[in-house]
Amino acid sequence: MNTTLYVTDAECESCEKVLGRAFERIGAKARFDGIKVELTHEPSITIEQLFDVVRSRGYSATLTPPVPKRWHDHIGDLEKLLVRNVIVTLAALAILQGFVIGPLKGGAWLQQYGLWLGLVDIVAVSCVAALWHLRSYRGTVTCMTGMMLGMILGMQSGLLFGYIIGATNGFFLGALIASAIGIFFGYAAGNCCGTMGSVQGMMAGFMGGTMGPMIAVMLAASGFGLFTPWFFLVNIALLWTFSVLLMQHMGDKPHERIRLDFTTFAAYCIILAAAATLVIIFGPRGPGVI
Amino acid sequence: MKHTFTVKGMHCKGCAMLVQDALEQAGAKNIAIKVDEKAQVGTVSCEGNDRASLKASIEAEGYVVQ
Repeated sequence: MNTTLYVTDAECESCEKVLGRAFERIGAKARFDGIKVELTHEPSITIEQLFDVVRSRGYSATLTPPVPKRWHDHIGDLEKLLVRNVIVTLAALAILQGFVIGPLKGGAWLQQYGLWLGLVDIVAVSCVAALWHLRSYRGTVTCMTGMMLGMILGMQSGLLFGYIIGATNGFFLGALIASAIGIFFGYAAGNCCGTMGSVQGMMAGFMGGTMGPMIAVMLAASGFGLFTPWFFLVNIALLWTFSVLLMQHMGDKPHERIRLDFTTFAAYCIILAAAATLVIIFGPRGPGVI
Repeated sequence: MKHTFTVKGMHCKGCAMLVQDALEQAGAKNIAIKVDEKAQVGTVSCEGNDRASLKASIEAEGYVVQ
């Protein structure tokens, strides 16, 4: 007689070994295919006995395959905490900029640079939030997922910072700073699957970091117009798909999640936003402070 | 006599159960196992007479005992 069970929390070969031996002890032979377990046993062994074997080893099983979860089904306490951290940090950055930079040069230059400084805050917080989200997972990812994660964060961070610095300070400085930022984020995100992801992330980071200022410099001739809000809307949305991908590919992993602290998150955001702000103000085409 | 082993390659509750079963079969008592999932290392302590046979029983499951 054949029975198929789905052991939803069996993670690896060790789990298969443990369950396989437990089934053997009651005379059932198990064949594993992921969470699907095909059992061959005597008709005298009841389904309840098979479930008892699974439960006795601390696992849980169903007779029907589990319904695949969508990405938003994985939104949990950590994601809610992340959104809260993002909002609080953005508010803190806006207040800091208002008090520290606002009074410089009488604040008049903010009419010209206020938009870019605001965008710097949003981009810095979005990039750090994506990395924070990744770091909260302890499990490993497949090479393909890791490469994609590295590529998204590397490319988007480079593009977004590059556009801002390129628009305010020209191509050279924009490409120099943004490609460094892109390479850093690409490496940090891609590293989750090893060297291949890191390399992919760094390449994408360099590409984004040079393309961002190139777009900005080319647009400057004809005027930024409505392209700037469109550019940031699309690219920040693409940056947040990082979290969607993460939840789709890692949400089901039963590995323990780490609750990262708010102070570190806020510190990274402030350092990144402050560094980019300084570049915008003190760069060769920036307003300076005198 | 109490023994403590550092076992490389342990990463989940399945690994802990495999090691527990192996040690029980080798005659160990009062077995305690802690698994560091990220480092993939288990700390195993138990009571038994022959350290070498306890170590061999863990290694027979495919783990490396340091």
